[in-house]
Amino acid sequence: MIGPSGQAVTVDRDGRPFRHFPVAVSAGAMGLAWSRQEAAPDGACVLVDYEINALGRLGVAWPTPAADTLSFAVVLRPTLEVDDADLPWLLGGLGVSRGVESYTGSKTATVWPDQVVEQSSGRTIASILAEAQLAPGRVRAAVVTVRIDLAAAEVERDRRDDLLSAVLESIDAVSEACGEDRASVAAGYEGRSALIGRRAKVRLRPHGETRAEIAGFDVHGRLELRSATGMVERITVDMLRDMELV
Amino acid sequence: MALDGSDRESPAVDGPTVSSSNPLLEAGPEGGDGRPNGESPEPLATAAAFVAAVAWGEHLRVWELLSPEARRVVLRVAVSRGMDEALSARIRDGTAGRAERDTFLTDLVNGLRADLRGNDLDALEYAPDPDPYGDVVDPDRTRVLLVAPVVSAALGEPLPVASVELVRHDGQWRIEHLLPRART
Repeated sequence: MIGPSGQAVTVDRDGRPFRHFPVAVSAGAMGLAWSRQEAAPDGACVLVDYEINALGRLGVAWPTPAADTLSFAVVLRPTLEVDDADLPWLLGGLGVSRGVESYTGSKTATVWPDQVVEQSSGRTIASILAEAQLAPGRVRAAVVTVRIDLAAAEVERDRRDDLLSAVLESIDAVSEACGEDRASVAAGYEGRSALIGRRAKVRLRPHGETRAEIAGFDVHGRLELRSATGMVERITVDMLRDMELV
Repeated sequence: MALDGSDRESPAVDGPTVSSSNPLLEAGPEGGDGRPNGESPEPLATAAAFVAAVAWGEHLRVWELLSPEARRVVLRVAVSRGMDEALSARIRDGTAGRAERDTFLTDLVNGLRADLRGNDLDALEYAPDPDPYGDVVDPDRTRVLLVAPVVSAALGEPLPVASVELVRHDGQWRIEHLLPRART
């Protein structure tokens, strides 16, 4: 919402600073701007009904129409060092997976780095985009943008707000746990990952390829690949171009 | 990585080729290539096993498939780039700690991957070099061409993308050099 003075209106929603826009470039853009320019507090949330530019990781467009999508961004201010800048991806994925599951009852799984899928069918339920704003030696804030396909999650449009509350509550819980024990986030994400134990060909940016079995995630949020002879490689989200399971 | 640092031209492909999709070539980390123990795999199979080990990050298998001379060259290059002499000796003698060994071999594997970068490693075919050393005949030394198949015969001959020199050591074919055809 835009107020008479042209500024976004912040309301309180269940104790959380909250902004709602019928139309915006993207939820993530609004969240990043709020975080950077107005020091949005931890847990601040932006809900957007219609995103003009609903882009995910590497600029991939979100395919679901806006009418069937729950799009929001949440500002997180966990205590993280720069090396941990990938952890918000796990944090967001784990929070969304747990939140959707708790609300709908459907089993969900995470697909690193940016998807939550229905466990049985593999159908994409949600996409995650985590963007870290860095300060010297630390992560100043992380903005996690979430897009949930309401049809895939089997949630009616008029129950969208309830789903949002459930997912935000779950993200809050994971974020809190992250402050106490980062390893628990990686372990929780790993426990829900549909990729563990699968053999994958990983194409890297700017170039190159690596292949091995997906072994897990480390405390920094990096993917761990382990070869048959035990060679371990750690892949950050920025290094990943795409992945093919074989 | 061209283990000798050279960039030799490989001749055109002629003769039989073996695709990496051949199950006989799928040598596992323990040499699970279907051959009886002690029998020397043919050079084509050894070259394919080496490329597969590089692709799949099987670092111990990569080291195992290198000839003693190739290992010496790798360690010499590493020392020239700053690796500790004592560590080099430990790796050479097989007494290095697991972490330092894995770090070194991971770098080696990634260097080899960089040399093979840009090629579809699953589609590579392996062909004997019809004329590896001119008039010099050495039954314990040969060269294998790594060939990228072409989509259509109208596009011309299959293109060699790299070659591998092998030597026979203790009855086993081992990799002496990997020579990328085109270096970037």
